[in-house]
Formats: sequence, structure tokens, C-alpha cells
Amino acid sequence: MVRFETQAFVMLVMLAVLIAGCNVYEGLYEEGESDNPEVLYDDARIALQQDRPAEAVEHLRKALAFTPDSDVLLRKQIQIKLASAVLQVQEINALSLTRIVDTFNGASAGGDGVALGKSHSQTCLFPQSHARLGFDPTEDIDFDRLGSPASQQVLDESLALIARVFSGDETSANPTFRCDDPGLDEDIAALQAQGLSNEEIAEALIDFAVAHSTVAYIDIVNAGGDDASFFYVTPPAGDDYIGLCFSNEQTCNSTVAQTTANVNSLDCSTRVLEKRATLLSSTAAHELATLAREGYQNMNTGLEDTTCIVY
Amino acid sequence: MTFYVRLRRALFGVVLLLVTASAATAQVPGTRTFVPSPQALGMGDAAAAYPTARTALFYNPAHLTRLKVTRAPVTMLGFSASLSNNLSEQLDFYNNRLQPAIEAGIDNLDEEATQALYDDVFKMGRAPTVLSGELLLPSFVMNRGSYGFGGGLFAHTAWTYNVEDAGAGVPAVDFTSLADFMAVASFGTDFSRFGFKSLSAGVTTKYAQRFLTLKVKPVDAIDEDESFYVLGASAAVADVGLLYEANFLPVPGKLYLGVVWSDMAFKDFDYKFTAYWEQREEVQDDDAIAAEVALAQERYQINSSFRAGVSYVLPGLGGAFKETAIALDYVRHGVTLPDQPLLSHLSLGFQTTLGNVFAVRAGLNQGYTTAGAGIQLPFARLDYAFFGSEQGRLPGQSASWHHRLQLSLGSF
Repeated sequence: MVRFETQAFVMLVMLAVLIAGCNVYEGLYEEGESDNPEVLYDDARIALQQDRPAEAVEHLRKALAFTPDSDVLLRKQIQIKLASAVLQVQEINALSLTRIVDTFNGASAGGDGVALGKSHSQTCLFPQSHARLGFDPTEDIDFDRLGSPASQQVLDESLALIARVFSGDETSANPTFRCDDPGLDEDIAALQAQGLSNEEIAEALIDFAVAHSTVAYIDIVNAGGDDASFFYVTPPAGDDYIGLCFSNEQTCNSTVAQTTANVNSLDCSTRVLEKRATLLSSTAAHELATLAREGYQNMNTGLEDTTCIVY
Repeated sequence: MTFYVRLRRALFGVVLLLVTASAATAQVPGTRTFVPSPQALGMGDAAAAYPTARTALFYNPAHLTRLKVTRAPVTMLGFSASLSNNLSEQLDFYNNRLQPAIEAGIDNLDEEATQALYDDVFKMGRAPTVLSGELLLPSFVMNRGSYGFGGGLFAHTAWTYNVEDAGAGVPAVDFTSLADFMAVASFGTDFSRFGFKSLSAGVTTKYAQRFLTLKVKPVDAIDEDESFYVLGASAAVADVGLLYEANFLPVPGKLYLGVVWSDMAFKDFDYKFTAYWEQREEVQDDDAIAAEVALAQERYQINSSFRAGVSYVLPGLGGAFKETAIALDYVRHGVTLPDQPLLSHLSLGFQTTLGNVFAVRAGLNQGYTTAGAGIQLPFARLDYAFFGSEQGRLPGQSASWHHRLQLSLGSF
């Protein structure tokens, strides 16, 4: 009798060891099955926490569909989280932003002053007398991924979601994000009044800044096509800046206007990062904004009052 | 300072805190003023209806009337430590991934290496890391006839941290350090004399002084002169429990039914800035303090909980196996997520004792397997439990695994 009990006990212990470290109910329930938007929102947060952004996106889309228009706060919270999640699916994050900023701040400057793989007969946005170092703006960036249609779709969706949160415009296909003063401040104040925390607003702002600057970067790189060459330019006096050269004047002229618009987008991203830092009451968070502003200024100086010079 | 440098510093700080915390005593932080029992944890956290000396003070005060002890167990001094099993991974990560990267210069890492390190930061921080324990100061439980008494002094601290996404992949550190000092008094009585045969009731009152430090911020928003504040508050709470012993079963052993309402606050925590843990700011930042006080008020209040259970206790299985118990609890904590299935609230446990000295335990807590063992000598008790708990809504959604070891010295 005692022997039987001992054997039974040993078998129980072995069974316990066998199933140790697992959940025996696992599989009985499926995440994301609920029709309750708050539950779906929580499920999405856990999915994000466990590095399952694609599943989080599914839960959040479903949550948004089940959230009535009258629940403004929850809709905005879901939209912000969805913007973060779609960016995560394509691995577009603050590292992408810092790499872009580093590129425009001359971190990848190198070469011997000759346009990379381009003709010596050029049309440039800077005088020939200025010293220059050629660089490849895609060198430290996985441009194939970042510039892919899938990324473009994600960036557009993220920007639209955040614009919708800030504008309150739930109907328009292209809601407007107000980057100006006092527009942005007014929109932030409205979100605070609706019950969003500063951390949630800060999340929306950095999502927007990253997506917006990434779009601007892709457009700047693509603007001149294969014909554009990038240079880090040092004038005899004054600050360094980014300059571009093209093989012909026509391409140069057509690109300038487009690039100027994209550089202004960088300015918007920078302002958004500065607002985020203020919102977080952090001097440290201003560093990322400062870094971004330097990148913007480097580009802006290269385009400011410049015309295409043939030499 | 670049984003990478800030990331590195924040991680370094967190790991350093964890390492220095190893000497501290603590328990899982939360809203409860509570000292968990390794016996209950090993049994899947099923304890409402299984009356023992180890569950009388914090699980069901009605147990005081059913203690099977010849003399009052007295703890003179005890220590308890608990850690989540990802702590060793965290330290490995620091030693094998982060420290070499710091020495090589994080700014010098190429894109692939930086991305990998960045991903690992999130991977490491996804599951909460917990280091906790208790200091057990003198405590006792006893019964005399129809009455039971108990009381004691306890201290616990807890350190937890995890990393979340603050938007665009920026890690946000969520760090909490909590210390509770508690005075506990329990009383139980058997209602048989009042006509309610086999029914007992008990009440535990707890006064807790809490000190709390927290930091919830994106890593790039943690300033170089970031101060850490100590917030203080006190609370008074009560647990009320009932225990019914069913004597009508035509089988050997006893069947118990237990119900407990825990942490009913008659004085909730009202956090106030108390001191600096680390003062780096030159001028006191009242806004930052107010923000952390508001966060503490939101996250670390008393929330009452409820548990109802049933247990079946056999005096012996034969041979070396002495008292053996099976227990089942339904547990509902104050903050319950919506759409949480019934199985997420169930705790099932088993314990058998060998020769009245050793105890072996196993169980299921919200579906997670638990195991434990204990040894009891006249002057010391040593208990160990390995247990899992659910951090999410559904069973198996977000597991957190812990080890707990407790040594008590006294007269048992």
C-alpha cells in the first residue's frame, strides 16, 4: 500500500515537472475575440509589449470599428496606439529619425569632393568656390525598406491617424495637422481637455515627427532621382550646409521647389519634437529636437535664396 | 547627449538599481498591504479555506480558530525573498550585451548592431522584472478555546521595472520601488456557542506606512538632473473572513468552506512628498513632484479583493504521508480587467506533509503551474515556491514566473 502511494506520488511529481512553466488553459481563449473596444485596446497593448505589432494592428482596427463616435477619448487613444503599431510593423522608429538626422548633419560625409558616380559638368545649388564632400544619403539607412510601397502606406496611415487625433476631423480622408503657432498649442490644449494624458499626446507627437520626417527624407532623396548628388558644403564663412548637384539645369530647377517643401516638413517635425519635450517637462527630450533642428537648418541653408548654378 | 547614450544610461541605471536591490527585502508591489505565504503560492495561491498557521494573518483570519497547534507558533525573525525568473536574463543581458557595447562605444555601433541592441532592450523589458521580499519581525498566532489571536510586525519592499513603447519605438521606463511597514492584529472566534455550529469568523486589521518611489518616463525624457522622490503615505485596512467546517460528510477528513473580503480600507493612502531618494535638481521641482504624486494616487491605492474557497483535508494518506489537503479558490481582485474568463480567477492547490516535517506542494494559479516545498523544525521553517501569474487578461497571455524563498526563525 505504501509502495503504491509512493509510486503515485512520484508520478504526480513527474507530471508536475512535465507541465511546469506553462499555462494549462492556454489555447482555450483567443486574444482579440472580444467586441469590447477597451478589451481589444488592452489586448493590443499586450501584443505590442510582446513584439507582435501586426496582431496589435488587427486588434486596434477592430477596436476602432467598435468604438462609437461619441467616445472621443477612447477613439483618440486607439488611434494613437494604432499609429505607433503600424510604424512598428515596418520597424520605423526613433532610430530611423536619428539616422536621417545624422545623415543631414553630415555624419556620413566623406569622399573626395567629387559627385559620387556623376559627371563633373554639374548644376549645383551652391557656388563652386565652396568646399564640398560628397555623401550618399542612403548609406546608413535601409532605404530599400524605408522607401518601399509598404512603408509609404504605413507612413501615410500613421500621419492620417495622428492628424485625425489632433484635428478632431473624423470624416475627411486627408485631415490637416496644424504645425503652426498657435495652432499646435491649441490642438494640444484641446486634447488635454478631452482627457488625454501628456504621455499619450507625447506618443502621438513623436509618432508624427518620425513619420513626417521619414516621408520628407524619402521625398528629398527621390526628388532628383538618380540625377541628384548630395554634398556636405563648407562655405568660406558661415555654417556648413547640405548642397545638391544635378547633371542639368532643368532637373535642378524642377527639384528645388519640391525639395523646399520637404525641407519645410522637416521644420514641422522639429517643432513637433520641441512641443513633445515641453509637454514632458524635459530638457533632455529637447536634445532630439535640437538634433533634428540642426538637420533641418543644414538642409534649409542649402536651399535658402539659392538658384541652380551651372559650372 | 545622443539618443543612444541616453538609452545606455537609462538601462545602466535600471540594472544598477536591480543589482543593488538584491540586499533589500521586498514583495511584488501593488496596492495590497500584504505578506504572501510561500505555502499558499506553492499551492497555486489557494488558501481561503485551508486553515493553517501560515495563512491565518494575511489570507483568512477565521483560520485562527482552527489551528492544529499544541503551542503558539512564534516567529522571532524571518526573511523572504522573491524574484522573477527573468532577472538572471536581465543580468546576462547587461554583462554580455550591454556592457561590451558600452565599452566599445554605442555610438560606434553600425546600423544592424544598434537595431539589434535596441530590439533587445525591448525584449528584456517586456516582462516585468520583480525583486521583492519581506522582513518578518516578531509575530505569533494562537488559539484558546473558541478564540484565536494573532499579530506581528512586518516590512516589505519591492522593486519592479519594465519597458514600454512611448511612441515611435522610444522605450519608456516604468520603475517602482515600494516599502511598506506594517503592524497587524487578528482576532477570530468560533460561533458554535452562538448556535452557528462549525462556523468561525475573523478579522485582521493592518496599519501600513508606505514609502514609494516611481519613475515612468520615456528614456529620452529622463534628465541628467532627474531627481528621485520618496512619497510617503499611511493606510489602515481590514480583512474579514468566514470559515465553515462541514462535518456531515460520510468520508474521512474534513471539508472547509471559506470566504474572505480583503483590504477594506477605512483610511486610504494619501501620498505626499516626503524626501529625496536622490536629489539632483538644484531647485525643488514642484511640478514634477505633483505629477508623481498624482501618478501614485492613481496607481497605488488600496483596492479590496474577494476570495471564496473550498478545501478537503485528510489527516493522513497512510505511511509517511500525513496531513494532505486539496484546495480551490475563486479570487477576484479589486482591479479586474473586463471580459476576464472564470478560469483566470481560479486557484487550485495540493499539499501533503511527510512525517510532519516536510511539505510538498503543487498547484495551478490562473492555469500556471506552481510547486513548492517546506521544512519545519522546532526552531526554524524554510519554504520555497515557484509560481506563475497572469499579467494579461487571458490565461497564458502574459506570464510572469517567480521564485520565492522564506526562512523563519522562532518557535514552531
